[in-house]
Amino acid sequence: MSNYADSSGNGNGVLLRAEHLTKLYPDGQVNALIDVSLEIHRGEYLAVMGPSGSGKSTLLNMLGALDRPTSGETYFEGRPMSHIPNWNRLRAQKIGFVFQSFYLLPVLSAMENVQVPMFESPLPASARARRAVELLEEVGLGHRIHHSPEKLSVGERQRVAIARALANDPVILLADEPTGNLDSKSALGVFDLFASLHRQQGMTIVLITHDDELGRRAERIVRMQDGQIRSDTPSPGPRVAAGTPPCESPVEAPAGLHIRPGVSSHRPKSILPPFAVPDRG
Amino acid sequence: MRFYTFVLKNVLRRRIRSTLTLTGVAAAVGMFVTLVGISDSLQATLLDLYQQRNVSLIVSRSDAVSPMAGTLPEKLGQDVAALDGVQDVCPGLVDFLSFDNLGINGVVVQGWPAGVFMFQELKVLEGQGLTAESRGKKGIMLGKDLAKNAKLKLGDKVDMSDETYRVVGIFETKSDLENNMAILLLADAQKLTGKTGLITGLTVRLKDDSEGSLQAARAAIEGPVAEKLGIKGKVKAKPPQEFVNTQTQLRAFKAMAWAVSVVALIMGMLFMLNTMVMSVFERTREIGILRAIGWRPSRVIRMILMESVLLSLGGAIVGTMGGIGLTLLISRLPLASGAIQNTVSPVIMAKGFIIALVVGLVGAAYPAFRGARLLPTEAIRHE
Repeated sequence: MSNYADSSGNGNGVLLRAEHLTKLYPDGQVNALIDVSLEIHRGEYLAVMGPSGSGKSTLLNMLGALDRPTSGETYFEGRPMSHIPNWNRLRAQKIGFVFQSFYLLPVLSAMENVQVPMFESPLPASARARRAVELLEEVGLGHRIHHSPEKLSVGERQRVAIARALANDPVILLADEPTGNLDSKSALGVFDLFASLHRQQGMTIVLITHDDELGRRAERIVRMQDGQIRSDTPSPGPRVAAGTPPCESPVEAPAGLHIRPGVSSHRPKSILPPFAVPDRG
Repeated sequence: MRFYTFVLKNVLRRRIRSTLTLTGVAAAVGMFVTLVGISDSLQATLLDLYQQRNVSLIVSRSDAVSPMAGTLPEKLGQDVAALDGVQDVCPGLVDFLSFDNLGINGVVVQGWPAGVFMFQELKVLEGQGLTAESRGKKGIMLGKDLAKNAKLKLGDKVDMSDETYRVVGIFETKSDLENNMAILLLADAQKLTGKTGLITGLTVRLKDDSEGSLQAARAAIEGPVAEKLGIKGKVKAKPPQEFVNTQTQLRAFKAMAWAVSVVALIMGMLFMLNTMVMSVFERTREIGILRAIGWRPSRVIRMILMESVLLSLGGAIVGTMGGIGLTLLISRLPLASGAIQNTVSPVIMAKGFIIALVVGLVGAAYPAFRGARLLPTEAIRHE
């Protein structure tokens, strides 16, 4: 507990704090998560990495109010989640999810897909539509708002999914292997989009990735294994873009160490790839 | 995009399945609208016949299964007419007869004595009515629809039970049932049907229609009057509404109409249940995603119920249109002989829609409940 500068979680920019999270699944008594503690600050860009079955997704589910831990507590904006009665509202208003397989609804256009979470907002239909267009322009798909998912490339689909995640103006984006189904060029584009959201809007982003190179584009890297955090280090930055040495030298750090938003010197210098330039004509 | 647009798109996603489900509901609603509509229509037509003439009581044999079966002595008419408070009495004999020379079977024929009030409602379009002077002259009056269908004109011959009658008048009344009937003098009708001295019933008008005088007349007819003729316990005097409601054949038809409709509607409901269970099962992950992005369980329920109601109301529209068409067709069949109105009452249509709504809501209740209980983590675990 002494790791935390502010154990109340209020102020001090702490958005999410996990304390001693353990998750046991009843089937086979597998320990999906063992005593994990983690602090995420507002505006942070964090990559969770680790082999399959290391507990990354389980941790993301706990942070995203999708699942309850067997023991331990998560604090969202200082409030213990176990005391928050309505997780639906929490998810609807504060959290944006991005999934590996996009999960866009095939019958809806890009614009309509982005509006789906907004049914839970008080916005009238016209405002929902306007916001959807704005968000699609923001992710570089202003020229494809009426396309159905099947007419979009995989990279474009994930951009629509990101716009959808942003629909209700969340405070944090949680992405589970967002580039797992993308080719490397699209993956890079999506990562650049995350980077620009982080840089320009100060969006807090937690993403899971297998891709070491892409993970390095985050500010902070949490590595997990066997349900535990093995390391929590500032990112060394992308190998090529930032010119850092190719070797990785993770600094072992206690869980809870964090990088303040905007203080990382390894911020990727990403730009939107050419196909993502919004077509405002 | 509005929520209902979203719901509509979900329904249109599986066009074949949606069409089949809609057709299933349409068949059930169509069956209800047609059968129950016809049953109600039969009752309404019959009731109308009496109410237009301000009939207070209908006297018939209590053990008769239809107005045409069961006979009473003609003398009953005179005894009832002699009661206090009775204004008019019309003894009637109703039966089926055949127009043998024309090959027309099953014509409903009414026999009334000359001069009774029942004649007053007949508007004679051609020829003349049956009066006291018509006795022994073998005249028959035809309702305008019967005349038209049988292609009979004034003066044409009609052979019934080896006797030849002539068309002396063509009439019209407000009741399509009567417009499809023939009218004879009572004595002629008795002779042709072999029921000499007998009638099938009486229509009675009272001087005042208060509940008190109605009950008094009933008691007198079913009591002392019947006793005097030795038919106590076999005579019933009922106001028109009650008479119509207790007609055995109409009740049997109504029960059958409802039974068939209920079975059809239960099948529609199971059809809907099956469709929605499949639909929710297929969309397990999708619903999980919707939950993950913040949808409340109540919105998932609303989505599934609205999809189902959309299908069932679509079915109600198609089914009602089908029912209207079918009713129109059936009313034109010769066997309907004016007893079935060619329109479906708005009340029946409204009932059809309400039933469809119930089919939709009940059929989707369980799938909606299941859908709402899906955990968002299920979706992610499916990766």
